[in-house]
Amino acid sequence: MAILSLAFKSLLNRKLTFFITLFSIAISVTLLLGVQTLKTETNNSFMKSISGTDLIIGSRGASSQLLLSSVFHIGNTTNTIKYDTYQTISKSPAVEWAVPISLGDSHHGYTVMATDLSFFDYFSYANKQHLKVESGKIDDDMFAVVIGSEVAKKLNYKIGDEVIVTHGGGEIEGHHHDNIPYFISAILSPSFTAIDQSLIISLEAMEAMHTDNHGHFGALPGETLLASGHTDHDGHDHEDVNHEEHHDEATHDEHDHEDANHQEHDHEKHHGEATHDEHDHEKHHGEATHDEHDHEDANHQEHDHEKHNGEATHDEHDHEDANHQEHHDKATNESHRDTQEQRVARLLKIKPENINAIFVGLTSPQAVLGMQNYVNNFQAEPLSAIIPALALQELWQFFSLAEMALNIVTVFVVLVGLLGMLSIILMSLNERRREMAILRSVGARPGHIFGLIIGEAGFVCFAGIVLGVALLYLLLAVLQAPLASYYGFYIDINMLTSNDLLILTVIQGSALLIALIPGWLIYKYSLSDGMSIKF
Amino acid sequence: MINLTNLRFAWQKKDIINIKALNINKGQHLFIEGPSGSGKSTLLNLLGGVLTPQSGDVSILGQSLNALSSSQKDSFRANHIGFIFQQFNLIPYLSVLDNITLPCTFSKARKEKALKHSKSLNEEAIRLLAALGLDDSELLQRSVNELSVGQQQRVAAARAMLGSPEIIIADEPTSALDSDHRQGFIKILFEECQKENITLIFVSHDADLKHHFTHSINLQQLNQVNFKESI
Repeated sequence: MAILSLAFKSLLNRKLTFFITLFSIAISVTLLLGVQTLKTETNNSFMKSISGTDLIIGSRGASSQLLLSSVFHIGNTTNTIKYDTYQTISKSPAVEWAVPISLGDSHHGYTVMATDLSFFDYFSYANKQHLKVESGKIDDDMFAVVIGSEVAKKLNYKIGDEVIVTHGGGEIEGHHHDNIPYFISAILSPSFTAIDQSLIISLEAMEAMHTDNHGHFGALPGETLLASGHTDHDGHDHEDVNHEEHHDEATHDEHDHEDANHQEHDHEKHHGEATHDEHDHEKHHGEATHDEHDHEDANHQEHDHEKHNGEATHDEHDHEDANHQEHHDKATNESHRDTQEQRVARLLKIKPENINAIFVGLTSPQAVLGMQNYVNNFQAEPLSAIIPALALQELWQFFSLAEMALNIVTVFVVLVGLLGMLSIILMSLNERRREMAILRSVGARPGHIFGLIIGEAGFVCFAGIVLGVALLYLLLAVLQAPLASYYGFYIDINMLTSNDLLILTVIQGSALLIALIPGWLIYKYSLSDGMSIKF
Repeated sequence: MINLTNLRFAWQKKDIINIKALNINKGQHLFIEGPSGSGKSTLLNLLGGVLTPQSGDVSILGQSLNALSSSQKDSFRANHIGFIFQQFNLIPYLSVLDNITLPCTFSKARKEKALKHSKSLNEEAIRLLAALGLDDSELLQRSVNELSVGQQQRVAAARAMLGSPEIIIADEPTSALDSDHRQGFIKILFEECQKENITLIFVSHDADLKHHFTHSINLQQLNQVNFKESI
């Protein structure tokens, strides 16, 4: 112990070299552990990107491509599958739920993903967490858009803002679908998945933009034309016209009517009753206005009742009317008015034709392989189905080379740090032979001298490790918030893992091992020099 | 109490020490005159048990060093011998007091003896410093590198004396001092050794110091190695 205290005092005496060595070891330790943390966290966030989805179905091709495009929104999504295929698959008995996904548009570099409302019910990430709404409400409107947290933050969007979507992935290139603006109905809470950087629109709206004329349905000469254009529609359209006639804000009511169509269509897709009810609520956004009109229009009321499944819900809605009206007027009616093209788009009752992928949940896990087989041999068009968890693993393997390279680099950084320590100790040996002779004269054994050197190396390395770990946590604490908010990369600050501790032990051990070289040298010197002071 | 018999030591097949017999009595102040190259430091290492002779024996206080293992020799040295060297005797990273009490780190016996004189080791160190003419308490705060050479040598002497070892071996302890300090240092050293009944072996190439001592030996005459031949 006396020797260790000597070693410590000796180190303090040579502060400059001591601190340089200490810092070089500390920095290498920080780097090594930092890379480990980054690796684990990247892997975690990568693996957490999707959960609860048993299969992802897309057109035949590389499974990694399908995974990258559908889950990470990376890469081109030129391959499409037919919407009919989606409908066929969703009716398959093994399928509990199926959500269609369509990609390919962007907004200021953020992916625009088209899906239907069931996406919010079934899509989950991490530990089967569902997407949460931070503000606003998921609106069933054809031109409502739900935006990810990062989109909202970076572009400073609020509920009710209008957005215009660009065709293609680029930030500059591509066709601006400016004839079809969307209004933001909801902003999602951060999920630290690709959804944070995405805008979610309805499939119908996506399809509308991608009709042959890019949604340029032509200007409408006037209301008469609009009315006559509606003749082939039944029921609802009368009211549409009526509303426009008696209400300044009739445009909005139109949404609701069109919603009805839209909704009905959606209902077909949904199998569960629960979702059905939920949709009713959402539909109700516009009900306030409807109810006002209802007094004047019996027909309309009847129609409304048709839409609602039960009186109870209807009543409930009425209680909330005031609220809804206020919110809705502000959020939607005032800030968003349909362009004429949007109006036409609504009226055309566009049905999606092509989608890019289907997220599928199965009734039982055992069904996965059978379903995958069924999909891979699908008759109508060539399809492939991937199991997300497996595909994620496979894709991660792809990064293992980079991971390995990173590991090797950090190991070398640590080695350089330790070699720096070695050279500093070796350089000090000659000037310390006098010190050794003095120690020998007062009774120190060669073993003590050896211990002094080993002890010094041990101290430096240990202090370096402690400082390195402290530095790591400091960095993590400082960088956590900015990384999460600017890069959507959330680092969990955890205790050191057993793996980390093992690494640190190995570093400490290596330091002691490396110190054997100067230790052995000084041992030899002290044997040959004895008490003779050589200089 | 120190007996050398037929002591031979060679380094890399060259004879360095060849002494038939040397006996030093207890309490004796012996001056060993030896210019550099006369095997002086080798002899000191042999006396300290740091080097092991090829033949012959060193017996100190009736203990044959040959009979001891090297680590036993190390603790024997720590227990019974104090050393003072020419210069830079002190460990630069230790305080004045830590330097003086350093032998107690390696020798329990000296620690116990030191504590017989004073309540604590530091107190004993301060007492010895005062006896050696260094009673300035401000001195204790200074780094050993800031002390003058004369002060450093006295600190080294205090270290050699702490815990009253039976023998003090001083290797050119005054060569870095000017003549005034040299006289003063030797005087103090003598007084303290006398008081503690310490056997003093004083090695120097400077024959002028011989007159201070009752006994003196010329190492070149004692050592039968013919250096001219071996070189």
